[in-house]
Amino acid sequence: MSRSRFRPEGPGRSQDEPAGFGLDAELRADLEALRSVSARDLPTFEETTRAVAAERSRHTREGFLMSTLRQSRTRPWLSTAIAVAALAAIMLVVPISYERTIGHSVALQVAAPALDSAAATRIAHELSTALGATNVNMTSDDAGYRIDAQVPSHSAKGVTRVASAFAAELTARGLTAQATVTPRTERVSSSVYAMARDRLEIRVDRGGKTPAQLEADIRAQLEAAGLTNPDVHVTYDGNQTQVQIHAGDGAGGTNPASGTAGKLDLDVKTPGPNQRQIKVEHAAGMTDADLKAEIERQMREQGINATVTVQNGEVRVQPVKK
Amino acid sequence: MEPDDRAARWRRLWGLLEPIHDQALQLARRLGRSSPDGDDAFQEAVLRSFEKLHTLRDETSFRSWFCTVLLSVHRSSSSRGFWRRFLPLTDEWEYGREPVGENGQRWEEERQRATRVSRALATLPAVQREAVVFFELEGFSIDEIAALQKVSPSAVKSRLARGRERLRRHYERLGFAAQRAEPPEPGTVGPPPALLEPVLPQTAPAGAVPRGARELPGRPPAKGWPS
Repeated sequence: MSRSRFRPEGPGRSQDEPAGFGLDAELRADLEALRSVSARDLPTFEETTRAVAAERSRHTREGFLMSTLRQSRTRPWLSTAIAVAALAAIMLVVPISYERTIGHSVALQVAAPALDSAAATRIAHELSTALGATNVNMTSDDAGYRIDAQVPSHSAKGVTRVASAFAAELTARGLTAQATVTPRTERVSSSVYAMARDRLEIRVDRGGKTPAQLEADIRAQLEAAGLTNPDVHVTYDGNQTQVQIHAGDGAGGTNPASGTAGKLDLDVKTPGPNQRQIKVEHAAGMTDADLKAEIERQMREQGINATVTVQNGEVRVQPVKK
Repeated sequence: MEPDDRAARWRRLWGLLEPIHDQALQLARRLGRSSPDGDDAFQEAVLRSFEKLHTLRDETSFRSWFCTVLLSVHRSSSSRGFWRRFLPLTDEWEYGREPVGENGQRWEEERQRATRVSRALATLPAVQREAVVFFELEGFSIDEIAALQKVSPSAVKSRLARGRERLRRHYERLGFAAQRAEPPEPGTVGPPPALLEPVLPQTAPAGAVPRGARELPGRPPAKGWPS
């Protein structure tokens, strides 16, 4: 005769009994078994006192390492956390190799074989001034002159704009010139932390933000990059946004943004459409020629190709259409 | 703390603990997954009790005070339950001194049952597991459990009902419900003989009470611990 293993036969059990009885009986029996089994081989009170004393002794005797190892066995999450922390530390400390831009090289090819060396030297000097170059070399061949300038600026766009404007200015003077800009890089071996520290990039979106919100956004990004107490001032003037930043790294060390020691000073002004701003301090004794030269220099730096005339203090700028 | 003070405190603790030692240790084992787990929890509770003994004002309430410490240890270990699933499984109720013969068979069957219900209890939230163990195995009253868990009696009833229902569902998933209504076909292999007969005396079913609220049959009478 077959029977359900959870439907014990005998008095008190009928077919009308609720379905859970057999299951409950099994559960009850298991709980009783647990009651019985948990009372087996129970340590005596004396054994417990000895075990607790040994546990206390182990707590006081074992060092940090043994304690950690024991805890890692009873607390597996601790092992995982330690492994993650170790990995993060390795990522931050172990050096990795990467390329860093340290500046740009500008090669200006002037195709004017008839140009004398004095004029070529003047052009090299002007190029050096316009780019803020640290080192300028000039070579000549049958085709003309080649001027190589080393620029410390990290901004490829800015250097290219100035070099192109300078070449266009020379072309406007009747000298065929072409500027080529290539980044100068160096391969360094450093930690991820140092790599991140070397690169400071701030992205801000003016859309819908008040000047105060924009200031807070920029300040937060600068502080996240390790600059202490940055002084940020934002003003809106129509379509123009003026951002002034003054910050130090707090330790007098190399500033990650500018590469200069200890201090960051930026004055960023976003012009309106088709609008540029040039500021010239009119110093005492400044002649019209001086004023013209200063305006032309600033315009070249902004990549603007224009004809400037100054007469009796009146300035006229005529853009040169390409 | 001076060494003399510590020694005196230990003497006081051991004096209070000795009368309830066996019951408290069994409770720790029943709350835990296994005998070693329970023994570890008990030792940890003793060490915690030593540190907190100065908070015990009335020594006559030591039993419930120690149970509260034990529950605290139990909940701490339960909160680590997620990580424990990555540990290798061991046989939860393994003992060395196993008798032979008929007693040995019964011994082994009880061990298997205890393992099964321990695993089922381990699936319950800590508060439900505590309520079920205190009520079904330790014979505590609802009010006593409410005082230990620092909740209302109705909350304890709710925890009990939910705990029982979860245990039933766990057993149903093990296949118990499916087989209770459909006896094995003649000629097919039936369940192991050890599981065919109830191990301990059964009581009548509770009737048509909703299953979640129904007590498990055969609950021992409330007897409490020596105070």
